[in-house]
Amino acid sequence: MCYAGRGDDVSSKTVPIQQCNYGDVLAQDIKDNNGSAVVTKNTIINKFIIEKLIDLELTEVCIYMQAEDDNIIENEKIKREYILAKKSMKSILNKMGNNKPVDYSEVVQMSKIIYSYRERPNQVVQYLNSVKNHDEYTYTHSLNTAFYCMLISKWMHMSETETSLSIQAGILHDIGKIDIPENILNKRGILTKAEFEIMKLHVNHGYNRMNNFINDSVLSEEIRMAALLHHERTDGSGYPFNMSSGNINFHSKIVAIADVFDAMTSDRVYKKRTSPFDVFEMFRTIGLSMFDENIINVFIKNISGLYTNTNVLVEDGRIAQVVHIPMDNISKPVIRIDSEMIDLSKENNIRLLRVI
Amino acid sequence: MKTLIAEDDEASRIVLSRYLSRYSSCDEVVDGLEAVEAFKAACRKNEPYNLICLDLMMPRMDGITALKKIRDIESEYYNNPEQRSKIVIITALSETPFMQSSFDKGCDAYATKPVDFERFMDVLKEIGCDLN
Repeated sequence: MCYAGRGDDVSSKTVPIQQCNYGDVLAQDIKDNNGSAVVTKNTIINKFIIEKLIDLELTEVCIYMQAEDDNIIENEKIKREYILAKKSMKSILNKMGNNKPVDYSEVVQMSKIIYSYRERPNQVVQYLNSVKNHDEYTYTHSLNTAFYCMLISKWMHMSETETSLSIQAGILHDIGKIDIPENILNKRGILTKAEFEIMKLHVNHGYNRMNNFINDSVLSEEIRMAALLHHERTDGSGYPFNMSSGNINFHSKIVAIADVFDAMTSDRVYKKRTSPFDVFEMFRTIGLSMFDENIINVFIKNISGLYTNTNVLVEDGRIAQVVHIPMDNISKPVIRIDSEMIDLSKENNIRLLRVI
Repeated sequence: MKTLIAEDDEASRIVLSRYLSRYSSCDEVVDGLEAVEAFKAACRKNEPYNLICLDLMMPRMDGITALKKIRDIESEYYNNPEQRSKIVIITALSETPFMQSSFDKGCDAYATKPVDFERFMDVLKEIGCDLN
């Protein structure tokens, strides 16, 4: 009857006896009036145990939470913390927009929250897939970029200090957009060269805006540079300086990938999001020379697997589930539609539109 | 007006071509290589395209490479900036990360699918296409 497979780190909850189900696992020793244990911790609850607990006149009991409970609670937590972080982001940008000083500790606080999800990449990607609302893109994009920066840093085995830098660089990379006219920022779908020239200035504005912070002793030059250089590309095709790979700092290269990945997989006012599989395809083909090869390989290798089991909308309107993502052909997963398995590497006529 | 549309996705190609055919004659090709060939042929006949719409991701040759080749060939045939074709890059890939290289290599506008035709027409006029 004893259940030995659980460690102490599994969380527990206290529930009324009536709400115990057969199969729940006790998270406490149950003692009688003399203090001797009558039912021990880790016992699986059945009809007999429940009767015993009632005999002891217990009203509630501490049990381990099942995995689904864990997920629900954790998903609530990430949602709550994400919404709080979004509010901080809004407040930072509003203060900056009004030329008020911003306390850098607000950024550090957000960075700590994001860092705390370092061991939960699956949950992060799942949650980010669910926040694709374009209304608050300005705020969500910076946050999402910071989350992807955290994941990349984790997968690159970077230290806590370096990971935090990367997260903060992600949070602040687009801060200069507050200095770009709204009509250009949210232009629906088509931009002329003149408009693009104005848009490009957000990187210079971002660099300058870093001067609005106070208590900024931990604001490193790496973060300022990431605001300035996150549109540089390793083949020299980026802006503002057409820098080549050797001159672009490491954190800018990380932000560049996180930024593009989130921008492409998020809804915008004028367009629906692209499927992550199309983005992988872009990184592996036309974008191949534009991003740091090492970082891109680590990113794609690790993130692609997290899309297993997600639901995707197919061009013909059907909904498919991603069943398997082959490492050697990442943009062509095996999917299931109803009960039919389809290998997209062999089936050319099915296009995945986006994750839903 | 004379337009060249290079787009591998048949549905997008037909939609664009139907729309633009109100204002222009339209030639259609399915990849960057064909676009470059069609452009060369037009230059040889001295009947250059006024407008070229290039999809970004196409098989055999992508839109940005085709754009660069077209501008190179164009400079061999024409010196007068007014004779330059107006070139629009069209892509499903949002604004990032190819805008800079597209503009660097000489496109006049960068459009994201699905194309909003009202805006598209405004921008075509803005960059100097004669839509009458």
